[in-house]
Amino acid sequence: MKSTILTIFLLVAAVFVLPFLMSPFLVYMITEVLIMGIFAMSLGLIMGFGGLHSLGHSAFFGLGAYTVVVLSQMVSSIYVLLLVAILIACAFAFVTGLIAIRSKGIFFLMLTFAFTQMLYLIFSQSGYWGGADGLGTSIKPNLGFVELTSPLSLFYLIGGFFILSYLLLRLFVNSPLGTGLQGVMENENRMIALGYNVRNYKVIAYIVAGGFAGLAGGLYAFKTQFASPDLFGVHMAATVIIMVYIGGMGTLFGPVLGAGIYIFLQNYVSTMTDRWSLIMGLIFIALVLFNRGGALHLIQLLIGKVSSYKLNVAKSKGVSLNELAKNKGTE
Amino acid sequence: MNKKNIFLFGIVSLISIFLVACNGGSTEGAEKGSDSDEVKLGFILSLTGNFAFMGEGIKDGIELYFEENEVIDGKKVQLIFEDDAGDPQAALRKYEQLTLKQNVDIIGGGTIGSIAAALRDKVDAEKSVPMINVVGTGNTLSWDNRSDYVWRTSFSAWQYASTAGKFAAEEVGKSTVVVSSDYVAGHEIATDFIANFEEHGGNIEKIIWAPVGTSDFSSYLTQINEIKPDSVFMFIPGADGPRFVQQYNDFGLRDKYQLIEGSAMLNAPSTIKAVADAVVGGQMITNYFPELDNAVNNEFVEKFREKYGKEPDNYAVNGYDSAQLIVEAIKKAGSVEVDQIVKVLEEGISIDSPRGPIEIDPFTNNPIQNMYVIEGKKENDTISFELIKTYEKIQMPKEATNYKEY
Repeated sequence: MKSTILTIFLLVAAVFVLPFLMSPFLVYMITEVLIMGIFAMSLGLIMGFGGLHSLGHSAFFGLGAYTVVVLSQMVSSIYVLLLVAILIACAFAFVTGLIAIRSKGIFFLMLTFAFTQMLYLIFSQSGYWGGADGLGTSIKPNLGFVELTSPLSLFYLIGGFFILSYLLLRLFVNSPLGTGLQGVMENENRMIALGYNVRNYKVIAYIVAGGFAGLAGGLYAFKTQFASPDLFGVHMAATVIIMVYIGGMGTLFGPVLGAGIYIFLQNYVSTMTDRWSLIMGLIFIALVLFNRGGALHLIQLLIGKVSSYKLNVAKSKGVSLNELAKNKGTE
Repeated sequence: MNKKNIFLFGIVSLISIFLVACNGGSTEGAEKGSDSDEVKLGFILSLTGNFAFMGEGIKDGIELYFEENEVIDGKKVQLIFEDDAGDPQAALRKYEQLTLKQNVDIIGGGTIGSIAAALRDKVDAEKSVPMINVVGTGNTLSWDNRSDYVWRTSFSAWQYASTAGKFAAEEVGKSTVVVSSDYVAGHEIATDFIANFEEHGGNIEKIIWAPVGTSDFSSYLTQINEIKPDSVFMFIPGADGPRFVQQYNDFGLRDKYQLIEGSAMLNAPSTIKAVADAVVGGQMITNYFPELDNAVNNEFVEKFREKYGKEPDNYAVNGYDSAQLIVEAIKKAGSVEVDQIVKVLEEGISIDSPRGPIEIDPFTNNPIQNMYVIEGKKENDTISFELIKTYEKIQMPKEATNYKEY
């Protein structure tokens, strides 16, 4: 718990200080990373802690974004807009979750994919909500007492939501519900034998993940002021899976790191060459082959090496690590 | 590895992002405040994905023009091309990059309708750079969603479809069947075609909506054969179009009912390669075709062939004219200030395009241009297209039409 507080404190400090050190474009990019970070964390929750590999997570993101864009023609309060966005995403997660969770593995993947494709077709074919062209809005985040118009205030707003989401997801993972979910992932039969209602655990996690993805989608709509059916596309769903994989599955912060790596890589490589997708593909293959746990585990490994090196030094001198540190201070 | 360690690594990684960001920040500081003896033009095109053939054509045209016009009014032109992969969200991200980081003076983009619409909203809200819409053909960009900051150099759906409707009713026959792809642009084209066809005394026998991705048109072709119309109007862009043309030929309808094509795909090299003789006898509405005989075009085609070793298509001309319009506007305004450029554009600019003289209409932000009807011919085993009718100076209505929507 102490480390959670420390992490939150560091996150707050980082979000507060970052804009002073960056160009406006980097502020814009980090804003996008934070939004996609929330989105990737929510998928990381069901993939890394629930073993539910979904190719339909973009459904909730798209629903969140469309809810904000469509409703913004009637309502201007950010509280109402985001709340409705989260509720709609949760409702969709509940309905589709009940059906999809009956199956496992590739079948679960295909079912979630099918639901997303249904939404894609509905939104791109229907005459409402702009059809295939998408729908724009002029909404700005209105907190009731102040309207946020500058990119910097939007960054702080989204930074705030990011930290809140991280904290809530951290609490969820550490709660009895979260640990139960991990138990289900590791050995479902044993959990059933122990008397747990496995299906409820999965459905609840699916709904929570859907809600956070809906929040991310809603925030995304505030940032781009635009929603198009591409948000439901298979490309979007695959992108977020890649983010989770390269960042580190089974951790909460890994997917955020993955989102950062993906967005910065894509942006810089695509500026350099038209063949950017080829280069990105090769980088991802390398990441998956050579660093199985993702970027977060790679950092972990490096730090592990350093500390084991220190341990060896300490052993050779016949002292404990603490004494070694003390000696260094006095030398 | 316990949880505490993972937190630690989370923090470490955050700091590493932080450091990367700091680095980026300091290098970009130097780029800013670009020297005033340079004109920066940023283009957001679909260079990969489904619409890459369009984006590549536009890029070819732009590069060809600036190869000869490297300097405008003593200022060196710097071209920046960014890829949106056909995704409006990516296009918006590239817009931020071009305006915030590269400080471009003018934006070009909108390879497909959805991207043009998304960029239009952004440009109109920020009013910090003018935008040249290189393709995006939606009528509403000239009417309800017209922006003082967004100017189109290609054409509008109305210009194509109304000409096609008039031509079909007056020159071919009074009964027709419409076959259109079932998506936004298809409905827009069908609406404009039907209204103009009926206005000139025609009668629509049937409207067929083919889902995007249809590969087997046989049931539709059977229906057409039972109706026996004078003509068949098709609007099926993308890979489905050549399949329809091929099957139309295979079913023996080619000689019975005149085929009129409305998305300028009939004379595309890829179509001819795919279906060969099936295009012969088909008629097509277009604002440009490489065989067009005028001095500007002859020179353009020659230069294009020399540089790229292929025939220019409509998209290459759109790119070429976009570049031309940008240069004319900057020369006339004597500056790259956004308000100056917009003011000059609002006065109306005429340019000598390979497609004939065009004039940018300040009421609709859309070019007034000739429309051509061409027909596929075969001589000595080569397929070429021949001009059969020219509609001069087609101008969009200033207000949105109140056609019945289909």
